[in-house]
Amino acid sequence: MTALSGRTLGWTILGLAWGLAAVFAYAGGVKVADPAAFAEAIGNYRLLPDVLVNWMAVCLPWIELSAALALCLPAWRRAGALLVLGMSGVFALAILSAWVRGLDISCGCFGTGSHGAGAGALAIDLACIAAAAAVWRLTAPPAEARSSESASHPRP
Amino acid sequence: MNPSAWLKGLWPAARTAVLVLAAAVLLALGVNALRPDGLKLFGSPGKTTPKVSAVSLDELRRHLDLGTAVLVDVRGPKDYASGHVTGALNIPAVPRGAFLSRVFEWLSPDELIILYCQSPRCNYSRDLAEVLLNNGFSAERLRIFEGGWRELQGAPGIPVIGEER
Repeated sequence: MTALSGRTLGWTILGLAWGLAAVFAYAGGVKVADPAAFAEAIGNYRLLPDVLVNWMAVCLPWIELSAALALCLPAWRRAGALLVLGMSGVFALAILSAWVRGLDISCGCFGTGSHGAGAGALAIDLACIAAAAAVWRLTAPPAEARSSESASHPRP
Repeated sequence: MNPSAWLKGLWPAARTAVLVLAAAVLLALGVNALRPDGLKLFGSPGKTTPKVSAVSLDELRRHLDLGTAVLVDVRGPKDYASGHVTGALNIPAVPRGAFLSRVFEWLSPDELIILYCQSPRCNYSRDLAEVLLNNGFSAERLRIFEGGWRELQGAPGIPVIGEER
């Protein structure tokens, strides 16, 4: 981390956090717009019992939107990164499981018309995990709060 | 790589994450309860109400061809306007009071009524079939098309239009 100057570090964090926020805001938005379609996509994975499918379809998009919002707010950025890490980890396992079982289904990542639950979807998920991990690591913990603040609020 | 560096500040961030998560879930449940195409969270999705039969796509097509049934689209007006089966009446499931008054205004218990919603996971058709059963309509004159609009659009022999009637 010391290889990056404070200003470069700040912009790197902003770029990663806002990029991730944009991806998750879009993903959450399209799912909120059509919860029934998302419920279908979840059901197609055949991983959850029927009673949980609708709960997941209702709650997950709003968690994605909230994570996107948290990533945009410096004080909540690490919490947002944690949420993204958790969600992307679960998504990656689900996609991997569908891939291994040979299910020919839409990944449901970005609403209807998403690409299949295969290598492409997994690559996007792993990229999100890497970006969230970088945001988590680059954002200084409380012990380094002073440098974190200057890193999170770079001067233009 | 130093693992302790990754774990620094985990607890406060996790606490905030849990708060954000809880707020998101509450918001999600509130919005779902208010929106007309909200999903049913309790009960068993995917199963037809025992008293009311489901109708297959072929049967639905035959009824449409012969004009022997009234098709009711129970989705919201926006969804209906963006596309629906030609001739289907739009009687949105929510608000329930408006639904019933429009049912009594437009439908008769003597005709065969087929309800459809957005998709197989949308439970409004099932719920509303029960409402109709409790309001003088007989199970023999009620059907549900479980595939919903998602299966109807693009299905061969099903005329659809994209404009509100």
